[in-house]
Amino acid sequence: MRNSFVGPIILIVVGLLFLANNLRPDFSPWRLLLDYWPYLLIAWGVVRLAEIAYLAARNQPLPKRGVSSGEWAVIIFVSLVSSGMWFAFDARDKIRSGRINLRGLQIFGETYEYPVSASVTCSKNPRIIVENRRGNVRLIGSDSDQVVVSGHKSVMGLDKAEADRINDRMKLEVLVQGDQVVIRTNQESAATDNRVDADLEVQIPKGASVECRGTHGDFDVSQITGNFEVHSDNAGVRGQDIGGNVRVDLRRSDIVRLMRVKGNVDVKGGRAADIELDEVAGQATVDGQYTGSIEFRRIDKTLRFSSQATDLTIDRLRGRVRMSDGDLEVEDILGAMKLRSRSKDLRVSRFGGTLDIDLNRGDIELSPGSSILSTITAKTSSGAVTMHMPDNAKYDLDAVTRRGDIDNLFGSPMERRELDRGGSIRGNNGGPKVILETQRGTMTVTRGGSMSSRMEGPEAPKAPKAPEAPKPPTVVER
Amino acid sequence: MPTSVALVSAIRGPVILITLGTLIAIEHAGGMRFSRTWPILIIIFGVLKLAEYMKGGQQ
Repeated sequence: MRNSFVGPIILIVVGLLFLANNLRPDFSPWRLLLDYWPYLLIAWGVVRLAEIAYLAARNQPLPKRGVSSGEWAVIIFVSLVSSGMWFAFDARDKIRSGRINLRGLQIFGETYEYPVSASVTCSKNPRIIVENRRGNVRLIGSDSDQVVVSGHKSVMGLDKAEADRINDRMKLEVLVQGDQVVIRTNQESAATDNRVDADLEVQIPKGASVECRGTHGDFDVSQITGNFEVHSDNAGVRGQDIGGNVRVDLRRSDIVRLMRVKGNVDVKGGRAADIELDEVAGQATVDGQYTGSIEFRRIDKTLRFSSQATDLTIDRLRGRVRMSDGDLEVEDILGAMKLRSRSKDLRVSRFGGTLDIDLNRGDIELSPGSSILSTITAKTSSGAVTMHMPDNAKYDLDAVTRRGDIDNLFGSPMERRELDRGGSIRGNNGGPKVILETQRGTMTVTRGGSMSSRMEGPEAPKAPKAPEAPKPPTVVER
Repeated sequence: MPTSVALVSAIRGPVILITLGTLIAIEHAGGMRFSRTWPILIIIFGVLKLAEYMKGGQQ
């Protein structure tokens, strides 16, 4: 191949660029290459064209190809590297300028904080409405008839000036409208992509009712005699010592914890993680898909729990209900219990009312306590059934497995009978009906009311979970 | 004296290179994306091939 002057020129230019970089560090040859590499290609072509025109004009033999395959390889290489770096630099610039938004959240820039405070006088039993789009709000009942708001706003901005501008647009409002007090942080009027939060601590008259609205942030209410209501897209909700009813309506949630509620509790948790209810004097209705731990204690009236795969109703829960992935433990109930579930290993101990259980899959273990007071019906399509029959109880037992072993550990007067691939245990001394049934699984009746309860005291460490079979990563059905 | 055929065939590479550079420069300047303009390269290549064929036909 004949000599071309493109090669030497490139060498000279590259040398000059790096020399310039060494003499003036702020000058970057890479940056220059990034910005101008398309023009480099054009210049390369123009030089080649000029070469050919020069050769043609002097009647010299022309090269067969104006640009050799080696050169094409270099051109493609330069193009790939440059465009890749161009993307990288572009992204870096965006990151440096704090302009990257991830699902509406700004992750670069700085947070500037602004204190807020306000106070108004109102009636003894006001209705407090809190509108705070993002941020945590804590309301505490007190003896005064004042609403006192303190806290701070955090504004994300590239610089203080930007944050100041945004802050000016979102003013805290505390308005008294008759019997109503509206606390509003006006984050939507800031009209910005930048992240703004308001964390408030509010002292309210203890006769107040509270209604909270937001999209993202926790609400914590304590010591009020009125109602407590929350509507949010994503919130953690905590309530303690609430005199009235509690209504919680969420689409997502990490925790709902309500303690010492005098009225009724109604929780629509949406897709939630944990829920905990303790000491509810009224009835409790809980709805949602909970992926974490579920615990109910001391619900004086009816507890209703429903999710995609499980419906549970318990009257007068004196002890507790604990539910996790595949387990459901119920301890100490005074009234009736009804359970329908697709898949749960169930243990019920110390119960007095009617029991009505129907599982698609799961083991059932029942331990009534010292006597059997009402009808028990417990069925599972697939799973073992174990009944811990109290020693001196009156019963009319009919325990059947269609396919599986039968163990009569109670002994006489119960009769064990084998039939096909299953069998039955029957016994009657004039007590309430006890119907136990499994389509496939072992049927066991033991003597003695105790069971290997895995429910320890409230603070006891959790027993290690048995390793679970791998599951596809879907929503846990419950 | 080089033939016109040889001339057209020699300038094909540089012309394509200039076109490529121009298209990418347009993209960088915020104009049409290269992913939409690349068929121009094929057209230029075809035009040059056609020119080469026609020059060859003359001789």
